[in-house]
Amino acid sequence: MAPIKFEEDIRERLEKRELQPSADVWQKLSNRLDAEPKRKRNISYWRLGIAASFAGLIMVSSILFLKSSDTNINTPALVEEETVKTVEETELINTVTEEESIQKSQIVLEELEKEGKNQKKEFTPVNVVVVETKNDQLLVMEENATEDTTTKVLAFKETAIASTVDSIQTIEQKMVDEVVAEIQKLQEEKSTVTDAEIDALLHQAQKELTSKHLYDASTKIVDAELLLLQVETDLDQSFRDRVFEVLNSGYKKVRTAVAERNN
Amino acid sequence: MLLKVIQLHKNEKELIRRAIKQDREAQHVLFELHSPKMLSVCRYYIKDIHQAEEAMLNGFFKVFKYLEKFKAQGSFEGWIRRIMVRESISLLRGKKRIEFPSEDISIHEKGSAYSNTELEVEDIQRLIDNLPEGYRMVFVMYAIEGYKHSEIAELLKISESTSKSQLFKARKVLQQKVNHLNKTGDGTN
Repeated sequence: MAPIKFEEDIRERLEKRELQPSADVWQKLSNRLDAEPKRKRNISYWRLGIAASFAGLIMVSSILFLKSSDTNINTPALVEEETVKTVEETELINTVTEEESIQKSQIVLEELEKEGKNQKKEFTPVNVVVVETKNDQLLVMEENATEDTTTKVLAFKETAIASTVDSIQTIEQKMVDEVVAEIQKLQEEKSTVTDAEIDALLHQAQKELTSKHLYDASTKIVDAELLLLQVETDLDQSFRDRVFEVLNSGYKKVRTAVAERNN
Repeated sequence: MLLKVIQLHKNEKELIRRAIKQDREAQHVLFELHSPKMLSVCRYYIKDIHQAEEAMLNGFFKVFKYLEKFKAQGSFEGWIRRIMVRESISLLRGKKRIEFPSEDISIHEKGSAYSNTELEVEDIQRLIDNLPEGYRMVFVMYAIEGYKHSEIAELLKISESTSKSQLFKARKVLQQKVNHLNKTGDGTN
């Protein structure tokens, strides 16, 4: 116990002691501390350089990665080919049905002639327009020049040929048909149909179409992406183009059919 | 200045926070507050006051360099003190190889217990100074600083048994010297 007592005693005494350092000790320490940050700063710049180079490397690699992934995404070239194929297919179908449509148009014309005979009126078909849809609904528009602006329209509904078009396309097609029918109605009523009227009809159809896409009544779900797409005019443009394309192609087909028949 | 020091002492955390940001004024205040005690600690180990001062300066330099590593779990003084002990040992190691004598230093006088003589601090320091370096370091670390033998062994890079034996021998020598002092003191009186 004695050593412990002695040690406790000397500890107490030593702990109370304080030794004042020389006056210049702080200055020495301050100088050393002043010298230190410079070295530290150099190290930090060096580290910063490494960090910057790493960041640059990551950026470059990410850009390259994105580019490569873009090329992967750009394989829609294949998709485009597919769409081209489908177009070709539809064209094939069209050519197949063309003959049928020619026959049909012939029948139509014969019938019209019969009717004309019955009514004892001169009947000279000047222009016949067949509008062909993907559902193979044939809208035959005939203009009788002799009977001024009166137009007779006959619509044929063909049984659907095995088509690969999805429901959205069929809805669009229906819209196209409706618009064409509307135009024809207008033609019935008036002698000429102005561009403004056609535009109005197209606009209305466009609205209906997008609203159908937007809100699915069965699932009661609003398509957010389509809502955004609604803003874009691309869809509008494509829809309009399609209507004109169909009108134009149908017109050409029937014209050639009538020309052949006349020959 | 003293008032300022006292006021700042109350807010040691704030001082440390500023010192971490290399605020020289805050560092100076911390130095002023702790350097007298820390020089005394260094002096336990190092006989020469200038060398002790050098060890203290090295210690404070490391304190301010690594201050951000100080976790306020223990006392700030305790943290500085441990740095000072390490720096003192490091300085002694740098100067020469520390010897830990394995043989007993000859005891000329017998004495079974320390006397209760009132020794002055200078006398105590002189007794410690006269111990062989190995004895001194182990004795100060164990008896004054309160280190465990395992910690001493690690810091001094010796075995625990060496630490224990060095302490035992240091105590023995100190006992002899105290007894001798008492005798000479009695003689003078």
